[in-house]
Amino acid sequence: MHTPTEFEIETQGLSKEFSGFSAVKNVSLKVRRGSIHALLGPNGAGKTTLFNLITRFIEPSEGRVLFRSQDVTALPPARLAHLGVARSFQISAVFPHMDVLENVLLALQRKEERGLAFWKNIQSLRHLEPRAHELLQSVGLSQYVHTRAGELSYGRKRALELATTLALDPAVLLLDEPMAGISHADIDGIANLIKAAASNRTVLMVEHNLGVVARICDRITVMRRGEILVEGSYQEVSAHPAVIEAYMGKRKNAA
Amino acid sequence: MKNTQNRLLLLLFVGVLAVAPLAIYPVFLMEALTMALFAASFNLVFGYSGLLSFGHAAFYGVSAYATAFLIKDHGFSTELALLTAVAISGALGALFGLLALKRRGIYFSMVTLALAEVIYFIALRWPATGGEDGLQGVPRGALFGWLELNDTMTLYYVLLVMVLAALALIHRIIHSPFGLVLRGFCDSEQRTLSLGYEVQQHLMVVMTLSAALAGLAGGLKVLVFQFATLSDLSWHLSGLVVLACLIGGTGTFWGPILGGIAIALLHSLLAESGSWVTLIQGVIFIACVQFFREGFVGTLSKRLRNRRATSLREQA
Repeated sequence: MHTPTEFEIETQGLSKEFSGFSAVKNVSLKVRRGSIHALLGPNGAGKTTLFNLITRFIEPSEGRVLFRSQDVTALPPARLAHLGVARSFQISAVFPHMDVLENVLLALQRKEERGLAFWKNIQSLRHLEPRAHELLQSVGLSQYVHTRAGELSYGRKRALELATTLALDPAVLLLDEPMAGISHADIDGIANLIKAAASNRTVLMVEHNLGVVARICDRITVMRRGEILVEGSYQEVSAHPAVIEAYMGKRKNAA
Repeated sequence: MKNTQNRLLLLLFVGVLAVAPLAIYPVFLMEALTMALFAASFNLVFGYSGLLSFGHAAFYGVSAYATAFLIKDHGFSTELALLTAVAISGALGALFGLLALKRRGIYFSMVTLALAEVIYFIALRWPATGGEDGLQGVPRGALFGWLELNDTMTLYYVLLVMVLAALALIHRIIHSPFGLVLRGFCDSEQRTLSLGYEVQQHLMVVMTLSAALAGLAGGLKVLVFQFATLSDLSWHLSGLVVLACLIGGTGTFWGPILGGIAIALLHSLLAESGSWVTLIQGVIFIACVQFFREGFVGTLSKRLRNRRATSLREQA
């Protein structure tokens, strides 16, 4: 068996009940360091809830979350982010009243200090700008540096959110449907970006685009009704009868 | 280009204020300046952090009382009294923050209002604060022992320098790495947390700073009018500063400054008409919320931005 340090993120018997309804039931998930791990499942399968439990935006009813074998179940979101677990949100979360560059600078600044320096000139963040431009270029937003984030199209907001999350240079990247709303033309670019980002970190992502999942993900966990249905490589998972019935089958018919 | 514009605007502002007392009654100008500072300090919490404090008069008033009390009853020098009063207000801001920042939205507003009412009640009942009369006849003294503040012109320029310095600090706070985090919080608390900012700390700092600066406004007001009364602590004043921000434009640097001056102007113009002031304020408030949601400065800068964008597009 694997030694525990092989896993970057691990959940043990994680459950969440919302007044009698089990959104997540006894989920034990292991995400191997350096892998791109996908969470699949129909709507309401509990994928986003699981994300919220891991990052402690909601409190689990039962179970534990481990980061590098260390129990982080009780850590508030900001502390977990400090340790190196960064996430994006399903509904795009950018800072709409700040321009695109400021969005990224805010994330880059986090690594430097706690951002309490109210006496310092904002110009003191100048040295972070080259890195910010680099990140924006990688997500194709170079033209929009001084646009207000709120005025971007949905897909570009997603790209910006990815850039700000990458700006944190986290050890673990939790991405909640990074391809949702991204135009067909841009999907490959974003997928390559995630793949490149994963070269020195671990990625756990919720994604519905099976093409992307098949191409870049090393391991896939399929959830249904709050539980893990099956886990394995894309070939193993897509061949599993329960998965074909519960999820893939419908998709294939629809497509 | 934007920078030179801002610099010109600043120069104009300082220039006008430097010569203004030659043409305009200095006491009115000083009232306007303290109100502008009060509104700008309040804007740090309201405009830049998105938290509607409804108890800011507590910081203004406590500092006013403290300044009056220390000068009159304890013979403090003017500058030491002001400094102490500002520190007390800052500490009070931290205390309010500790209790109110556990909540957001309307609950935050209600807790700050309740705390401010407690302070009001104490000032009403505590013998040292003079009850209904407040503290009257506070000597202005001399700054550092040599600038005689009883001379209205001297007082005006001393006050102008202090207000400008405080506004400069506010400008810096807004345009600092710290200000960037606040604006992030204002837009999306969740996202700011997920970036790893422990925003509660930032909010505590901004409450303290805002309270201390509001305190400076309250202390300066005592030097001008030589009294501190219950109205400095009343919820009316807490409401008035919200109005000042809304008129001028929340979340802009110049908005609350102009809004504060406008409120002071309104008061002095309508001083004789008594209770009509309240009615007119009410109408202005409704008009602002209905038609001018981003305030005077907010609307203006939006127009300018749109025009610039259009002209850029036409060039392209």
